[in-house]
Amino acid sequence: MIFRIVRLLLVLGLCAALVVFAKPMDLLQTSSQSAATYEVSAKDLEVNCMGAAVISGGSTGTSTTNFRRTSGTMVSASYSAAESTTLSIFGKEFIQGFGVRQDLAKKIVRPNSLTVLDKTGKVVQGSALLTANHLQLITNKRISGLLGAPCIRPQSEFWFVGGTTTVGREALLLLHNPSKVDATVDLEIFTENGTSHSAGLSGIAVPHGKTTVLPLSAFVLRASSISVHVLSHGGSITALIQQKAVRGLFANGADFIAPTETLETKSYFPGLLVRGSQDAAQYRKTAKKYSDVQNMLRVYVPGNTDAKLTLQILGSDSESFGTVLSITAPAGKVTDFDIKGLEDGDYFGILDSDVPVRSAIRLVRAGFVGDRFADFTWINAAASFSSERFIAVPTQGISKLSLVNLSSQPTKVTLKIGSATVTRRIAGTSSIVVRATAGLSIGIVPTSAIGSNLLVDVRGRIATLPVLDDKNISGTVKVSVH
Amino acid sequence: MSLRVVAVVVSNDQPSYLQNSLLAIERQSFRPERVLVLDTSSAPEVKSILDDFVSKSSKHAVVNLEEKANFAELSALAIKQALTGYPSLDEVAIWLVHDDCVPETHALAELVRTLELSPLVGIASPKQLAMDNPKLIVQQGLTVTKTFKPFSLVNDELDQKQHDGMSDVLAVSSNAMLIRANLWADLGGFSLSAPELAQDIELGIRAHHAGFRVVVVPTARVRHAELSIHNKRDKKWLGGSAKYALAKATNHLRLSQLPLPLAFIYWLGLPFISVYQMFWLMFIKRPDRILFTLRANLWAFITFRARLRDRHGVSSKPIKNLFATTTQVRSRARLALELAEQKTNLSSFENQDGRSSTTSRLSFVAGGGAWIMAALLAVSYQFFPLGQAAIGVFALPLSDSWLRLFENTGASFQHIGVGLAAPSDPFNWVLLSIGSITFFAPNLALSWLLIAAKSLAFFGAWRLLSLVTSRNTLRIVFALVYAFWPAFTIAQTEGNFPAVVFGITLPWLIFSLARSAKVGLASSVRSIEQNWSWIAASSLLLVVAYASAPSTLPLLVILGLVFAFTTRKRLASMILIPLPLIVVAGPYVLFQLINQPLGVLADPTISVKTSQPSLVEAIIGDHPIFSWCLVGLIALSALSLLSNIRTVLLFWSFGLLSALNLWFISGIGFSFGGLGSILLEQADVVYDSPTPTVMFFALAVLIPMVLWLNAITRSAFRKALLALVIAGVMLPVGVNSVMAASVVEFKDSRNLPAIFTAEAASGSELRLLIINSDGVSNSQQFRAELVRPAGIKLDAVSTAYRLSRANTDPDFGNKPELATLVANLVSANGQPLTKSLQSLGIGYVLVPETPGNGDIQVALNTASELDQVGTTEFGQLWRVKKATEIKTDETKALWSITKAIQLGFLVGFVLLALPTARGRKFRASNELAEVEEQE
Repeated sequence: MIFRIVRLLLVLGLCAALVVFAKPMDLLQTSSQSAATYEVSAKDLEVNCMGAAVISGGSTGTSTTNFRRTSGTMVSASYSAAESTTLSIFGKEFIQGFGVRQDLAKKIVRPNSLTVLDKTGKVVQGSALLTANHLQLITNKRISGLLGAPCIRPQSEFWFVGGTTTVGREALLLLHNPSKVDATVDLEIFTENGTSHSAGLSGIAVPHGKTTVLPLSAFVLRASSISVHVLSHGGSITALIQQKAVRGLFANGADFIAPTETLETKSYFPGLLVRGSQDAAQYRKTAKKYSDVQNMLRVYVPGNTDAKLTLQILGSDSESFGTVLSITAPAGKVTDFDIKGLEDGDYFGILDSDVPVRSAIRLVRAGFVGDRFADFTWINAAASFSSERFIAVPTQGISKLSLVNLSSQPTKVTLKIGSATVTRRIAGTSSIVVRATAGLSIGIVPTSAIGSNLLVDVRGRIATLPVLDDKNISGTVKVSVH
Repeated sequence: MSLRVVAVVVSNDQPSYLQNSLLAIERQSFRPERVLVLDTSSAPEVKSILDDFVSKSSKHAVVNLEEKANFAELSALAIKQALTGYPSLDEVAIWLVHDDCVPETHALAELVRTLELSPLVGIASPKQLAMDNPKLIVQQGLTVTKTFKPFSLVNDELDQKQHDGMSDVLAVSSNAMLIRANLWADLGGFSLSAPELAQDIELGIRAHHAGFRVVVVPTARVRHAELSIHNKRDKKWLGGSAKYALAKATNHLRLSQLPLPLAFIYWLGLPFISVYQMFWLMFIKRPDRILFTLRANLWAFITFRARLRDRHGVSSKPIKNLFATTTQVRSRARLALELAEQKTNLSSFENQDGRSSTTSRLSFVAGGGAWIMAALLAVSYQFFPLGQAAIGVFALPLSDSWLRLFENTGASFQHIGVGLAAPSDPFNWVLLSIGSITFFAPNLALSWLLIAAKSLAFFGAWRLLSLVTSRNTLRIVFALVYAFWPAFTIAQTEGNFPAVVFGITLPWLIFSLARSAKVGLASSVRSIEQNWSWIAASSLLLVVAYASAPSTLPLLVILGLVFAFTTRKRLASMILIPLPLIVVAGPYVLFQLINQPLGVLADPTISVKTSQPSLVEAIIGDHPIFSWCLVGLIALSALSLLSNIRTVLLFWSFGLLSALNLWFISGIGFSFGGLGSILLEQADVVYDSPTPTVMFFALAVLIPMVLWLNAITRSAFRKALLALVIAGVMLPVGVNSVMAASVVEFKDSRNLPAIFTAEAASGSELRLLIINSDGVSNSQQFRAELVRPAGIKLDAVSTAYRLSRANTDPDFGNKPELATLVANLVSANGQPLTKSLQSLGIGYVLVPETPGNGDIQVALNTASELDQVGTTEFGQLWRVKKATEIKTDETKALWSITKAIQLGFLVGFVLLALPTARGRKFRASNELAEVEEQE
């Protein structure tokens, strides 16, 4: 019997040892498949500006199919004027590259493109070569607000987090096809109720050179929280959502919602420059139609797992004290969370999530006295970057560049403003706000990963211009052949 | 009596037999005039005996020879010496006696009388009796069958005078035959070119042709030890075994006695006849005869000219009436079989232990196994093959054509990707076997395998457990636990065919090995034929096991060592078990050892991104509740170590080794890539499936548990434990298994756009370029695969290719050109692409509809060299405007020497493994008869 007990103990001991010590580990490995790196020339860099804001209803305001453009939007562009390149401005004017950066401002009505023609195909693309945005202040009873958006590279896929189609709120999806090939677009729309299965979401024709305007209310009526996935087949397109608010009889607030970046578990929101918080509070007290004059976080959680979120709103200086939200967002749905209690000040946000999410923050501005207005802007999670990027600064209003250090260590950022160069230090996981010179582009040269947004204030109304880095597939391309 | 007899004794190192033989000759009632002993012995005792013998009489003489001559030469020399001095040979006869022969007193007298009475009798032979049993006739006359196989007319029969009426025969044994000296002189003695066992028959035939009769004289009796036939002599008169000598004799007689055209055709056909004989011998479960049969055929083929020397241009028609009749052959065969069966039964009876003989057993069907199999089929309803092919995760369709499947099996060149000279996966033989069941649609059988997986695993486990228990409830419950084991369920739901095949095969492999080793309860193995069947079955199952799960190689080796130790007394025949595996997997293993040694452990399937398996999760699954049930089962099974059953420690040791193997293989990362991986999620490395090793572990846990429960004598306690297992383990894991959702879809076998497959089917050699991103928009990293007209099929997947430089090295072959083309395509930079597209033979470009591919699709729309075909179910498709086919020799050879050898071995072992039921007795009897007819 002793032998049997000993053998039992021996086996159990070995089992326990295996369970405890035999953890998965990389013991051996065969050669893994490696991708070859190739230097390829790129297609000419083209950024497409969506044009002036659109007013639905035609001239009478009652048509359901007619849309007309407003007076025009001001495009601000920054072109490096690299040698051997030529900038095509809307296909009409050309600037030959001679090595001195050019900042431009042109007004357009309809969508149009800026293209850098590169005969060699070797010039490095990105925002340093060409970046542009457009900004339009409108104050009429049909649409009122500051609408700003980046001019973006035609692509096949876009994600938007923002927009609402509740009573008095209009969200128009603007699809423009600047390519020479007709495109067919499929949409996926997610709301607070989950995925929309409305008819007509797929097979939307966007002929080449044309713009298609789609009221999202046609698909998701009275949805308060919207996220849209746009997928193009055929030609590449550009897309924006134009969101406006009509409060009572008058329009009050509008913005272009720009596409978001990738899914993230940690997102940074530079540029939460809160002003007129007390006016906004006044509006909210006035009537229910102003209930959305409130800063807000919107989150779309793809997949099947609910997201546990923590949003930290941190002050950019010692005088601003933020807030913290600990929330859970349901999977497969779009959820809004009010950000309350923010006093006037400069802030930035950090969103932590246990699953990858898409998110954006709606920042409101209100003026309750004198020029009464209630405007808003959708601030997407900023793209992280550690190499040089440029942003064109609009000629109108006051522009402020908000920079967030994504690491916990202090970092330095060199800002190229015209011929001047300024170096600023940013503390770890902190933010600075820099006043930009109107019409003069800013080059941002970080030493470690940062995120940045440009906030533009025109007569109190605000718009956000993200710092993007548009480039076509070029330079180093990795290809693994199976 | 006027006949004068000269006795010639041929002696070789058998002093005791020789002494008796010489004594018997001296005591003959009819005394020979001379007795000459031709001695080739080296033993000093023989010399002493012969000295005594010579000293006894002046008529006695001895000739000593040391040269290595054969029997024909020696007898010729001895007879020549013995006849020296006779002026005339007319009244002289020669009595040729072997040294292991003891003639009875009147033997010679009876023979002489026969020759004197009939002048036409040229040769007379006595009745040959067993040395140790004078009532047993060992031989009485020789003849041949209609196909010139030597045939002994009487063999090992009790002498009841039933053959005393016999007289004329075709030939007689050389031992104790009395032949007229003048006939001997005319015929020139035995043929010097004939093999030993053909010499007697050949002499008899020539005697007949010379106009003499050859007779047996039943009243003349000699006892004969037949030392040469029984291989008891030091000198190998027969030049090898008796069976080999017999095969040689048959070939000699055919080549020398058949009409010349037929003999020539026979000679030309010997290679093919050899192949046929090989398979036939496998089929009748006598693989032990293959070697000497082939050797004899080779001997006959090479020495054809020597055989022709014994052709005398005389027709055999006049003597055909002396050939063995069909009735005689059958009768003899039946007798031989009965004798063999008697021996086997006696042997089995001696080997039986009390336990197995007294056990009452229910058969599988009688025990309700068939109903449970049917129920398992029913609960696997989600795997019902609504389409022809199973597709999803690991599951790829097989080639639609059986011939294509055959081409891909055992191939030496992999026509996938950029191509590679490497052997196909051994698993292709398994796929070919399964696909051949429904040869008209090979995918169908593979699809049915998934729905039948649980049933087959249950059946195998039931049979295996029947070796350790006769309690039907135990067998059913634990066989069900095996079939429901989570790892097996996962393999089934993911369409992981290799793992599923292994899970089904493993119990059968261990079962057949146990049968071969004759261990376990109530072994049914009684005859040699049955034993050969189990050995062959084990061989084939071993091939399937390794081919399906190379990751279990260390465990299979350990299993083999345990088996070898168990069967160490019969190791010679057990050596055959790994032979098919060596032949089938040898080229692949060798290639991997040279190029990527770890490859011998790599799973034979597409490289699906999998996480590194954790030991505990792999064994018990990851279900939050049901997994604990298996922990309970393992703990219960560990308690079996407290029982007094010795073997439980062996099984538990195997279980621990399985766990160790699981940990080991989980630490080996294999290259991602290869055929079809372009359509799968990108991974850096992939890992072997843990399922096969886990199934090893499962059996190692279940068997001790069954042994323990079976040994518990307190019925109530046993039933309580069994109830606990049923309620706590079998039902929960069963529910978990049945509820597991399958990710495999059943549809048609096409997994590429119809236009491409249709063109390929019509003979186009245009290739399809598939481009995929890494799943992220605006990424600068892409993947590409060049798909050949054969498409992406499971049987075309090559592990050797995946682990080779052809896959891992970006500079291998024309990969740089292909990658540059892809880079230019996706960047839409306007570079001219036609030349690259043409040189790579690309006719179509496909971009799957997966995340991150939108930009690729947009970029391809701008390429002027491409025309958009449209959206297919597999993605966006473009046609190359100016495509050019590459006319390469890509048609795989249907046959190769390696493949022929592999197939030959497999077919041979299948024949050996097949139970031959009704025909077995008859066939075996024929064979037995043929072998023993000269003994």
